[in-house]
Amino acid sequence: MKTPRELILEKHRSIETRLEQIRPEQLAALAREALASTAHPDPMRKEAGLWVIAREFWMESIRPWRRAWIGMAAAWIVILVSFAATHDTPQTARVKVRPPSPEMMAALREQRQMMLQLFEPSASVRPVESKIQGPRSEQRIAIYFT
Amino acid sequence: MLVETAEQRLPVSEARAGDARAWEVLLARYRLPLYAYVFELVHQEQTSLDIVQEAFINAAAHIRSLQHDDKFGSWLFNIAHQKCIQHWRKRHVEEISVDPQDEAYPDDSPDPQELLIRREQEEAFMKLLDQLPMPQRSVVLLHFIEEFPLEDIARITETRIGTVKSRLHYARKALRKLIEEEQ
Repeated sequence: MKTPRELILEKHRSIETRLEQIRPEQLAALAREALASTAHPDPMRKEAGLWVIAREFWMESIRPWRRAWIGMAAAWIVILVSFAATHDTPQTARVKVRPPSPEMMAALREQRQMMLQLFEPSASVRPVESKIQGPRSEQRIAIYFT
Repeated sequence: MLVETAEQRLPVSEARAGDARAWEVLLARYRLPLYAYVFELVHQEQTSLDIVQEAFINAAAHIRSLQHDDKFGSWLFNIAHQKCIQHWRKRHVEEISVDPQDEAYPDDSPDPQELLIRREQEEAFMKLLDQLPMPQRSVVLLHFIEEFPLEDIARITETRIGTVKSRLHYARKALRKLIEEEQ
């Protein structure tokens, strides 16, 4: 009569010679190495640890939902591009808006003056002195109203 | 669990410090039971030898993380069990899912030493062991080979104690039936 343990172990007794090939010295060296690495952490191993963490993060958090991540990234790119296209930066705005020329300024002043004269005839409006004289006919109108 | 007397105390702390003689003692104590357990799960000699070797190498590399020295055995079996599962997942995924209902069972498992098998029953016993689904076989082997308590078997197989109880209940029922039939 045998116990189940005896029976099961007896069945595999013949493999013991092959199991003896596992060397205790090798295991002891591994344990010592593990102990030493705990006492004096190797910076290279720390880097390797960070690499492992980054890889695990990639494998577990990014890779399974890579399509969702790509879609989200594409949406952000579209948003940023459209934002950049519709809103000029101050630098570009400065380049685009040129200061008006003196002739244009004079013409604008005269136009403003005329508008004031037309809509508010009673108001005493002094003509804006222009360095550049306009056509003679306009000068005459200006004198008449004043 | 097989009772270790004071003289037989396993030199786990010495092994942690890297003592080769301590590892020799641990190898002598566990290599054959571990091989038997692994072989009865995977049924391939070379694979079983590889798994046992890998389990010892992993144990040596991570022994500093073992908190309770008296749990070295169940910890080592857990490493080997995980490797068996990895091996099984590659081959017999469908069989892993075979499991009895997880119900509440009384802890009716008697001492494995009480179950004695006569010579004429030996072959039938081993055959029946092979016929058990993998989860049941694993629990029965851990119960018979190392006499681990239910808590340790649950930890090794990473299941709940209730599941271990139910698996053991079904397996023992089948074995008892076999023995009664033979008598």
